[in-house]
Amino acid sequence: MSFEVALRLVEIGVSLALIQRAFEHIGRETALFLPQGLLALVLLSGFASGPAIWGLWLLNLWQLYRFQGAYNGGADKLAMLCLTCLAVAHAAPTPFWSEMALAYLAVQLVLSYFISGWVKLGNPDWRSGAALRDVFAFSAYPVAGNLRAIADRQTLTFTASWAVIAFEIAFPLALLHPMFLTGALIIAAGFHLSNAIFLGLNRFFWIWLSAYPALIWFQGRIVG
Amino acid sequence: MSHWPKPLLNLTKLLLPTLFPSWRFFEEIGPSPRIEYRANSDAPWQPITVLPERLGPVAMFRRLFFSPAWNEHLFLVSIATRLAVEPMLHDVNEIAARLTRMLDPTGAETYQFRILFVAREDGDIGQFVFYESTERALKTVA
Repeated sequence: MSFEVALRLVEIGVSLALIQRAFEHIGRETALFLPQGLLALVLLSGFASGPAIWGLWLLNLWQLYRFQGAYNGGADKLAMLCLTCLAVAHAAPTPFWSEMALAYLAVQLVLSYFISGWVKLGNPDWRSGAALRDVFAFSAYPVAGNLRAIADRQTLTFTASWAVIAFEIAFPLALLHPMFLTGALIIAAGFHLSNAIFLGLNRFFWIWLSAYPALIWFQGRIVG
Repeated sequence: MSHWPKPLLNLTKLLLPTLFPSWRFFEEIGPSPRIEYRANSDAPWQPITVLPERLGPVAMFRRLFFSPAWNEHLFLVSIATRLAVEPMLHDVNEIAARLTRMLDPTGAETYQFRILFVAREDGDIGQFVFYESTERALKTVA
């Protein structure tokens, strides 16, 4: 995948994710999110991408200030990171620095899986399956009451815990070959989809997928 | 950085974690907050978020695209957790403002809210009250 195609695909993905987010806030914090939706539409159209990205970056900074942090945790943090990397890629004085901006996004994406797996591996409660049991037993995340019963299925939570840890820890190995990366991204998308279904983390699904083209380009750039 | 203007310092503190994220998702499953409220001081406490008993595939699919109430719930969970670590008037007001919006059509004159934490201790799941607001008049809260 060429740099230009990857950059444009990330722009399209981020703009769709931001439109989805803006749509959820209409009627609640309209003044803050309606301009975001409109600017994301401009970015989606492909005209005036640079100014649209900088406008979205400023709006997202304003949102960070308004909520004194990310409204939706990691999903909004990755959205801001994507916007920052896109903004730098557009404003960079040379192609080298544009590539560095997209490469930074790709590296952060790899780290988002690897570090997340690494810290779980270091926690005995994750290794025994108890942590995932507690996610379903009493955390505020399961989206429906009947999902609490998953906490009682110890074999399932133990197996799922190790599957998540193993996948996240091994994720950097996907950079070794395009086929590995394709497989890893399909599994990762399924993982985010399951988080969206069971834990209601829908915004994570959209924003993580929108950054994948940066990783596909990065893999080809460093290995391919 | 101590000589920086306070708003700029605040913005920098908010921006840096987005540029250099920690990515330590679900590192440990600690005490989990619940927000409860009561309209008028003699009413029973009620959870601010009531989970549906089950969600069908269509509802789950729809919530993949549009889930404002649940994302507001996640936001309230994050600020309730933040209150336990770094108490800020902003977060108390944020909860109050959302409760005001919710209770306004009910005709209640006052309301109160509290934050409980649910946690596992010695194998059993228990809960404790971490914060209880004073009784607030509905009309005076912005």
